[in-house]
Amino acid sequence: MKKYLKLAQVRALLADMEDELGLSELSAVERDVLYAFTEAAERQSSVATRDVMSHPLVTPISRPTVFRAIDRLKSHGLLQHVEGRERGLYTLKD
Amino acid sequence: MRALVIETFAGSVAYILAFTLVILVIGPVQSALITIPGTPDTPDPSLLFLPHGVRILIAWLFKWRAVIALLPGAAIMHFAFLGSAGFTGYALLPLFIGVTVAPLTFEMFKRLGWNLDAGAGAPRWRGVMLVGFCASIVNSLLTNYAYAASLPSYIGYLIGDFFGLFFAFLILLAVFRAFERRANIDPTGGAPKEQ
Repeated sequence: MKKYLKLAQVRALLADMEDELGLSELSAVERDVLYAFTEAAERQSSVATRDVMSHPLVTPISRPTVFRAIDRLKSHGLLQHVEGRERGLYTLKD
Repeated sequence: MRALVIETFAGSVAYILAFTLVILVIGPVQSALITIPGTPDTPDPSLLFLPHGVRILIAWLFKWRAVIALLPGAAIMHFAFLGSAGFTGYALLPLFIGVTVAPLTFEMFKRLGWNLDAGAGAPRWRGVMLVGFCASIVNSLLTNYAYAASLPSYIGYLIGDFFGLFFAFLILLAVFRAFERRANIDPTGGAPKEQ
């Protein structure tokens, strides 16, 4: 959601710090997918998986890997599935 | 307009909280452990100046709007230290330097071809730390010139700003992780497994 964009940007910056310092709980792929969600959330409140798939950071990654990354981001509490909507529609969690 | 009000509230509250932590916790611990030589007439610079971290993070997020976001908080702390005398003539200089140097440094980097602002590509923590260090140099030179401080003060400010920025990031990371863990524990917070 757009109102959480700034929080998501701060989290993405902190994720880069975690990676630089070896503190990361997210892999490089998960960070890239999270960043793609963050950018897409700037344009729309809910982000479809297909929009993330077309992001330049994500296009080189295989579909199964992207879906595994989305699962991990959900379990980290960073993404939330939009209840009662189409499959593969998510919002960034605060 | 509503966004600006929220940004200003968040920026100023974060600045005041960070400054309060420096005054009430970090300052007394530092005084008990270290004496900085060559600063007999001025208070020792904090060697862990968290408000610099707040300044850099707010400038990274909000660009030039950071000046407005930080000004109320910085003005309150300026008043707390210097009283009404702090709002006359040259005494105002450190207040304005403090809130403008961070967005100015991000702008300088952008004009030199390295746009590190939030939303301008994948975030680069090292780049933001570098901006923070450069902003600290400018801030230290200008602020200490305004206060006619000694060389140890200059160096103390630089160290304090750098470690303040670093630890501000670490504290923020700890806060995010705590919230994320809590979100995982909450059974209503998790989404059903779906692809």
